Amino acid sequence: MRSNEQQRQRPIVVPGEYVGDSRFHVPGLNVLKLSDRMLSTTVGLVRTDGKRVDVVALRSFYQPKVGDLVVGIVREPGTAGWTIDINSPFLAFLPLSEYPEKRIRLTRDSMGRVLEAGTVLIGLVKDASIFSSPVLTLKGKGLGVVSNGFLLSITASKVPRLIGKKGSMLSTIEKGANVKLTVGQNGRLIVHSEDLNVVTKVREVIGMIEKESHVYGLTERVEALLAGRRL
Amino acid sequence: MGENIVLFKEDGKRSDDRALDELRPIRIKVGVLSNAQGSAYIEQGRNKIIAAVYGPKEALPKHISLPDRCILRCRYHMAPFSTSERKNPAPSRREIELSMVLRNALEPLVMTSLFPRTVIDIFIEVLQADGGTRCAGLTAAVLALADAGIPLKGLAAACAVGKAGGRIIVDLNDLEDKYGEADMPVAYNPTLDGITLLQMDGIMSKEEVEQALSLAITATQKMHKMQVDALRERFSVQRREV
Amino acid sequence: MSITEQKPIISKLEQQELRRLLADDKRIDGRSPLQYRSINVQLGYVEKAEGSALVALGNTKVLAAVKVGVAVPFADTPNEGILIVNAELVPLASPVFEPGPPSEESISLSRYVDRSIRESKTIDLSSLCIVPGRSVYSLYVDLYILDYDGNLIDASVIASVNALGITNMPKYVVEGQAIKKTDEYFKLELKDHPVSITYAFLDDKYVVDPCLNEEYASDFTVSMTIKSDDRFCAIQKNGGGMIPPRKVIELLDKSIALGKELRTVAYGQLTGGNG
Repeated sequence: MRSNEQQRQRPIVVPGEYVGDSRFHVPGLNVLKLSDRMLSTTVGLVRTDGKRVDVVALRSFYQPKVGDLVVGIVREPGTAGWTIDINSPFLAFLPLSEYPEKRIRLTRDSMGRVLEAGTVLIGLVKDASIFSSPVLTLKGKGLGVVSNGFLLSITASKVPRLIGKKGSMLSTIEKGANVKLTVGQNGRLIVHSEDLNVVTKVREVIGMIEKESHVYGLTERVEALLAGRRL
Repeated sequence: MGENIVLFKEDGKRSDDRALDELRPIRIKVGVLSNAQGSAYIEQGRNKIIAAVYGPKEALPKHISLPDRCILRCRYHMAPFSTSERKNPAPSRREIELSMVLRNALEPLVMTSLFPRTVIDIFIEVLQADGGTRCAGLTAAVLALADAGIPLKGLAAACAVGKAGGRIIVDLNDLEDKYGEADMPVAYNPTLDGITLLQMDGIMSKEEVEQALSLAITATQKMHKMQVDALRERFSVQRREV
Repeated sequence: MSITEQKPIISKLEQQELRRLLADDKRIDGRSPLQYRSINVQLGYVEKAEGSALVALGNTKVLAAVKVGVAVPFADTPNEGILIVNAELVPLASPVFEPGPPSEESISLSRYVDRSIRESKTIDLSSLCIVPGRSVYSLYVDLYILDYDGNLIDASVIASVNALGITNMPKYVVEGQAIKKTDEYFKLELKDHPVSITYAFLDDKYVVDPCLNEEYASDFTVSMTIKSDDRFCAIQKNGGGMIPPRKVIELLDKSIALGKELRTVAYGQLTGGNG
């Protein structure tokens, strides 16, 4: 015997749906203003921040911002740097000057060996404009090549939910699975572990957040999942 | 020619028992393909059409890209087994024209200036055809774009209206399309009150075109509600109690 | 695959001028918004074709030629003649026309002109049957675009109808199992004289018979083909953009009056000669 129960969910708005009056509110993310009406441009959840109304997209692609931490995959060496796939409409660029090892004399040939195609790295977005390729840097604490661990993905717009208020959700997961995670704003994350069981657990949690980010009580269900309980 | 084709039954109902302004049964599902960024599947009568969106991604080769906005690449294609007589898989002149007509109908909905130098690929594949495929294809393609998270100026749905047996009808099936007096596909965006696809062939007076247009708006508004429901359903979560 | 076109860049100044003039219901060539350019029709331009017409609509030049033959009818219309319309955007007509396989523009143009002629029943295809199920007349209407200054659709429809209007059909007779071409000819009878009216939209204003710059600057165009009895046989929106339903209805109204005027000018030589 089974019954279906619609979990209490935050209302989802669709493109063209009314989300507010522009005489009293200011259009924010994914909101279009048409005379007095403010309309959503994506499928998402309405979020009000003072006078500003945003729509947080439930499905979207990553658009880099300066200062974002990203997990990238090296594509190929280019002139004076490497092109990096950061899971965004544009390929990013890591210039030679932003590579931390100063001692190595890099020639065109050796560049391919220093950072091979497929290498995973953690970088910071140094420059981002919609009119040119985003620029990354590997110079900084915690940045660099990742040689061990597991690479997982989540929709970029769900990353804030994954991290949680003041990092609370991330803490919950790291404590519950006893592992360190590095979460890129671009929807990619590194599980710093060699244990397959650990990564399976983290994968399940990511999957749950991906599907249920807009359902109330998510934190409790994540905790339950990590503890091995079924809610 | 077509003497033994019955478009209207004795009781005034159409060949498939529908009223003049009745839509065929429609089933929509959003998010059906795992590889595409966005996808949607539609069944309308015996039409079975799938739409997929890839992108936005870097527009290559560079010469096709535009510096200040994203471009669209659209392909409307009918599978060889989609029609009663096998259709040659090579693109026909009709498919080439419809690929263009559909791209022109979808482009005004996309906020293209947000993604310069990128391309959005839209594929519309007709798996089974029974009249009105460009309209059903557009209805699904719009959902695929929304599913991919691409910002849109609202949704749009499309429906073919027309004339058969002297009467104005809504959502022509294959028989009515072939043997009726006029066929008029219309795609309408209720948010901006704009028509993005409009074609007509056949013979219609000004009054008939006006009447058909008005019915098309009503029909597409009905379909728009179904699109909204399908999008909400895609992201809703059903929990089971064991 | 249909790809967003790379439209030739019109300078911002020219675009501004176009829009400012339009705000006052004026156009760059001095026409009013609902005024057509001058039309010149030369009938019988290609003597070796069974029918032909060279049409100049302003600077836009389209040559339509009709070649008549015999063919096996299509399976689903065994008693009807065959009509095929093909438009070629000849590279010499414009810097943007490139040699190669038919582009989506040329295919779209061909198909719209075809629908304009076919749906209006300008030609009674069932009168072009020689042996039912075996042999019918075939009419190839080839449109050769020679100079592109906007509005290929209207010019092409006018050229096609004129060419068909003077087409001399070689008479074929049945002789036993074969069909034989005789020395006789008969005139192809036109049952209608459709014209198409194309409107170009810039923001929420529109002009009829756009010249090249107007076409490039416009958001989209709408073409409507209207028969002699004021009924519509083809409508097509070309290009992106959106049109409100009430504007479509406005165009239907304007097309009826414009259609009458255009028909007189475009087909004067066809109808005038026969009284």
